[in-house]
Amino acid sequence: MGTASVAVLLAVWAAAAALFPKDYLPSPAAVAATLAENLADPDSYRHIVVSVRRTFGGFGLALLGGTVLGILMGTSRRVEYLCDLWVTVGLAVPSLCWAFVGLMFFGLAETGVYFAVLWIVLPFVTVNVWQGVRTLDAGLTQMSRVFRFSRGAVVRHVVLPQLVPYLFGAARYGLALAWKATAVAELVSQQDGVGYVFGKWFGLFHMPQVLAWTVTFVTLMLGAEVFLVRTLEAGVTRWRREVRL
Amino acid sequence: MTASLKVAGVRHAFRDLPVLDVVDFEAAPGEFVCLIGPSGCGKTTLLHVMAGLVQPTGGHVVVDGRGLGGQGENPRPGYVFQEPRLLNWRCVRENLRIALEASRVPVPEWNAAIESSLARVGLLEFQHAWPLTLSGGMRQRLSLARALIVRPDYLLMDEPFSALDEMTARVLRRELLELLKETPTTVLFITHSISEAIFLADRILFLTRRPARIFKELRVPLPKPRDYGSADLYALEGQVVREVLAKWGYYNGPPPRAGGRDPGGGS
Repeated sequence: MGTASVAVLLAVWAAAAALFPKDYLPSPAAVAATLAENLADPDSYRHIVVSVRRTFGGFGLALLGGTVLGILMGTSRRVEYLCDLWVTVGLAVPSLCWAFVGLMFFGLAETGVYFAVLWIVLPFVTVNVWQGVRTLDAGLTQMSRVFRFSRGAVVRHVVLPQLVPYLFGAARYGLALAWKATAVAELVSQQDGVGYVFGKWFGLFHMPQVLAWTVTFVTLMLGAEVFLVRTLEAGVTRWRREVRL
Repeated sequence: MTASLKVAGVRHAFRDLPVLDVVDFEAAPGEFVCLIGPSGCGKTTLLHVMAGLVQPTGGHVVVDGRGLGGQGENPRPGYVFQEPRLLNWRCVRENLRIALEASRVPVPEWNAAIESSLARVGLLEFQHAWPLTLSGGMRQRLSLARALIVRPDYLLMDEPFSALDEMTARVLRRELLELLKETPTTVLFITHSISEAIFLADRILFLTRRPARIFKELRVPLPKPRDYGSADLYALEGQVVREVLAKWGYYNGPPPRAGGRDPGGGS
């Protein structure tokens, strides 16, 4: 299925490229050639590594912060009352705003990227975890009280395992969002990273490079989703999968 | 493990809705007491009060002379719920170990305690299985093992066998009595089944409809071990049912004919 749809996309792209001037829409072959050049250039990997670091760094902070905040919002009416509006506002603020705020606060320092990614991704993780906490099994909470589980044991053995599906939902969406946020922030404030390279080639109106980097970018995102998130998820939800056999 | 229980003048209301009228009773160390009442009468609330989960509006619970909800180390209940309420993402063995972590049982004794407990409920060979791969009866056995492994001062059971099929339930009732013979424990057992209560209990307390109050007490006159199919158990059940259903206000005559027509109408 996946292979077929990729083939169809390439065919449509090739047909369209034949109709437009090649400055506007280069052919798949031209883009593939540029991509091969890029992959042979060590400098490309420097940009990729920097972007991966920023994406995962910012995403990690957001996952941690969003989980804590989501659990607090789900368990304390006061925190929920306090944060409900601001989480909704956070969802609505455009990524570009945070990128510029990061630039204003931290100048050209890399901290500005982490700052932007954190604030862009945080509300999405928070909302997911908050919803998850609402579905916690009251019967199990009661059980843990009767058996006098410590607070740590409740979090580790009762609450977090029930939140796993919500955390993975947050991770999938959040990681994709973090990639895009990183690219936007790099475009605004950095002299390296995929976002910066993207901006440079767009400024030069070099379409084969713009598309080649788009392909690189999407491939990295899919790789993170398929190999990292899905593999982890399959491991953590073993107890559920074996039952279906 | 065998504490005496005293429930003194316990009353409870949810906002304006009275759930427990005044409830007073005592249980001797090692006694098996069944509580029977119509559904929705407040049985579970009473058990929550006895577990220290709910602070009653009035009255108090005393376990071996120590009050529940007081300062310092509270008496500890073991609890078996109607559903197993296991941690399905932890294996059988881990479910017991996590319960032990929260108990007073010293760490060096954990492994031996887990193994003997699993052996006694027939789950030793399943110690590394996920709970959801087990049958309903096996899961409830694990729940029972968890309640006993923490060496509770008393055991609370809330219709623990009512979600199982009758044959499995009968096996588990027998196993429960065997387990209690090995580790005598004061038990408070909620049920809506009069035959179950007569099979298990030393003494049965009957509750009224909500707000609950004890209106009858029966010391089961049959010697243990009892036989589920025996004539005297059956006779006692019939006698108790007639008396109790009238009190609960249920229809208590011969069953109406199918279709609810006037019995004389068809002839």
